[in-house]
Amino acid sequence: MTAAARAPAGATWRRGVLPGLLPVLVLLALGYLVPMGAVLWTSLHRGGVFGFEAYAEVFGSPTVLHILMRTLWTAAGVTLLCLLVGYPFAYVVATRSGRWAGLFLGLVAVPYLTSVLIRSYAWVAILGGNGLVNQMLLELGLVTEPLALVFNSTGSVIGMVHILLPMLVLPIYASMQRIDPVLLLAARSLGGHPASVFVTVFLPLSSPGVIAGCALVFLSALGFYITPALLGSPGDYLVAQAIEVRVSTLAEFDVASAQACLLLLLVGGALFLLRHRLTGVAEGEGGKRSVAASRGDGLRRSALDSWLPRPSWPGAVLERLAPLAGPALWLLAGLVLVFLLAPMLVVVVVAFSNAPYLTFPPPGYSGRWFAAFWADSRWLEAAVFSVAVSTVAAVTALLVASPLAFALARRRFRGRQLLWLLAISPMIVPHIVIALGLFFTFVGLRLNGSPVTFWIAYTVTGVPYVVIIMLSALRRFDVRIEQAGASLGGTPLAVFRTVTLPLLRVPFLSSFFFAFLVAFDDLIISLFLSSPRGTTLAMRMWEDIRLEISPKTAVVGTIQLVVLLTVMLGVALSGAQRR
Amino acid sequence: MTHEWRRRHLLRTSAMAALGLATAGRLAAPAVAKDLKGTGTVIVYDGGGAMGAAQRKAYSEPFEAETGIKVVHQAGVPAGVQRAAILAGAPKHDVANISGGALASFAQEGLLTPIDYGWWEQADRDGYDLVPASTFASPAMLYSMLVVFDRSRFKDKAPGSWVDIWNVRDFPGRRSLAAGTNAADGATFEIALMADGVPPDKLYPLDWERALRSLDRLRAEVVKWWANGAESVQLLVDKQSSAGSAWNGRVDGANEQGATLGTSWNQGILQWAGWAVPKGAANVENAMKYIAFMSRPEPQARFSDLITYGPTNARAFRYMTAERTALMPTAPQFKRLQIVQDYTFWNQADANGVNGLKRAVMEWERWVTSRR
Repeated sequence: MTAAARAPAGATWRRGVLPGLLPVLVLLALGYLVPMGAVLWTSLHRGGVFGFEAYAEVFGSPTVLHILMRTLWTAAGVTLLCLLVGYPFAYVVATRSGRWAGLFLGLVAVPYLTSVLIRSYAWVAILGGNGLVNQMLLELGLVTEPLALVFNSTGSVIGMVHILLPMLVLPIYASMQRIDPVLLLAARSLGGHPASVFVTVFLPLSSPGVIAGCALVFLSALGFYITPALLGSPGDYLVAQAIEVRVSTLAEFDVASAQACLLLLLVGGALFLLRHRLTGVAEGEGGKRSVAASRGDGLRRSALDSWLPRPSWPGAVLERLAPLAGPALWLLAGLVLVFLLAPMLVVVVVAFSNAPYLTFPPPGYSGRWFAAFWADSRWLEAAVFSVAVSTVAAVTALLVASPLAFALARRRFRGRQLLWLLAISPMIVPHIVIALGLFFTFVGLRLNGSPVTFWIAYTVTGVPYVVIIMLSALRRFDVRIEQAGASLGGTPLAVFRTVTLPLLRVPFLSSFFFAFLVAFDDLIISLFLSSPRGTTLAMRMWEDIRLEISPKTAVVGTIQLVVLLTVMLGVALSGAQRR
Repeated sequence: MTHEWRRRHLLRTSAMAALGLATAGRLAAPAVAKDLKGTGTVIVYDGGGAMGAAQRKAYSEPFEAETGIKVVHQAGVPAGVQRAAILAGAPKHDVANISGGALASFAQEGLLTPIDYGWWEQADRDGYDLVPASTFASPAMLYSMLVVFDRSRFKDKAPGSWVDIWNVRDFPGRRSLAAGTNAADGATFEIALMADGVPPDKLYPLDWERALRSLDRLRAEVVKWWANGAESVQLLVDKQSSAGSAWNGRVDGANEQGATLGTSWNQGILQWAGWAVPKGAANVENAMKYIAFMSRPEPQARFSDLITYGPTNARAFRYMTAERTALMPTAPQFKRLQIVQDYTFWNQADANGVNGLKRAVMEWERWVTSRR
């Protein structure tokens, strides 16, 4: 890393970039480019004959284009909603929660602890016609008829925002917690009202996190189909569902591939055009720009700058509202936590149900479903397998993709913009299409049935998270701190360990966290890769609840919650001891 | 190849006949069954949940005990994934379970190995009366998409046909039906046509436009178009919906656990899934033996005792109680009330080369995105 700091200008592939990037290049070539090549090939062949029939079918159908456009609008809307709710929440956590920040962040992860099927069931129990919310509203006399909160677009959006919000909160928090309070103090001392200081200083400084978070949410939302199918109306039909039904039910691989390629082209093209606003990729021709970009002078040059009006009037409005800010923020943070945790509470209650089937509220309580879980060794084996492959893949993704993020942020070499697009594009293509391509590739490589396939696949799906989160973190990273360390005689490794790593702890951890979760939560890829030598927990749960939703799945979620809380407690305690 | 099988089959049956004479005193004792002993393993589809448990008890455990072949259960995958796996040369199972709606295309495209009926008793093969055991597949189980309702809501008069499901004045309450993306398996298009007055024997070829117009009439009453079997019953148990469609096995499963759902066999749509051996399977002979074992009446009866999927070999009813038989969609007294879904229609390509499955998905996508 210090090599980069010393000679950021004019780096070329030969001078130093290649060795660090070799692992990620090999990985993306094998685990993404080759499979996507197979997908492209598939989209251009029908019955073994080359042709454009699949594309003609896609473009010839107003319905498909309509679904594609709706998907883009839905993803944009969900992103905006997440931002409106998530930004103030991250703000509270980063600036007001003090030593409780760790707890808040841990709780943000809770939505990921259950399978999508039982999570959706919990939402139905909360939002349904005789659900908790409607019962409460009726009881209070606020409504006379139950509100339609689920099985329509409202339900679909609630379900999507719930699971995507953490992806927005963590990157924003990461960029907020590294904003130097001295800058804010300086602005205050120059006579700035806190509200103006927020708008002119804090907001721009947090913009890399905002951009990273929005990118993660938007790109993830493009691939959603189970949540809209379970909580929405048939009209909430998104392109990933159209692709899924073409692969799973119709086995029309050419049309599915063509739709995926079109989606990739549309979204990838848009990202490429917006790359200067979106990325922290080093820009310009001379060396100065990249040093400047990393030096924290983004106050003047932030990407958000050009989008925001000059901050005088929002500052003025906020100044009037300032006295209300504290209580309002805490109220909002509380509501967000309730929103994030409510389905999990339903799941925990259901896990202790004594009913033989899923019903909420349960008629009584017992530990029978926990006993059933422990009695079945196949579930435990699957749980161990899932944790193992997800951990190994997330660590690998972090190890191979972080150098890419550092190189993209600090060095200018030919093709870096395309490399950035390549690294994040596994998030754009619906996973079922990647899975299809990967499967054919692995069989061709005679790897079929080996746990190595899971490792490669989940590393590929983890890379975009690492790149997006690390790039946003590095945009505000002051290279001179590292240079100072090096000038004091630190070896590159020592500088990395004692300077870089501690400063980037939160982005590293959140990258790992999402890379792990996207693997742990995956069902689609595992449907293709599973074999007697490896079956994931997500697949066991799916297998068990395809026909009937049993409370056993709720047990899995509850155990995961306990594990998470234990880890958080452990971290908090060890932190306290160090202090 | 078929000659060789026939010869082998004849040889074996004559040998068995001789054996049978010797043991005629012990009628239908397992000892007269063909010798399926072998070595190695066989990887079989596992239906998960209650179905997987029933498979293990009724088929896999006794098969292992009798033959010495180790059975490995592997989670099932959607038909499209299985097809991709066969195309890649690495099928997921030696013994696959493929829904009848998808089977025809698997067979047409040469993705399956013909079933070796040499391991079967002729009487058992003859017992497949409703859906015959064919070249590439042995029917695994029969189930039916039924009119289902919440008994607590319809105490005096319950819906007994699809017309009744559409009649919200006399049978008030929200509805739940399969989403059209389930294509043949959801049976929603057949249901919509019968609700519109199409007689069961005039259903095929399906009139897509008429089906959608019929669905238009019910659209506002449908609380949820269900995506999977679990949901179909959960919506009723949670009282989100008061009537609709669901598979008989799902309803019985819920009722065994205390739910109070009612069904009507009238206008039920009989569907089936078949056991098949994918091309490229690693343990073909063991797979053939396992399928032969599952064709026997005793294991089938045991399977249907554990889960209410109808036996495909009618001889199995001899080993079942009258009460249990009355729960089976293939019980003699219910057969005539129902319609066997026409999978040939569903897999036939129309003038534009589009088969029924694809047409259903396309029509459904058009319907949900354009009509309000």
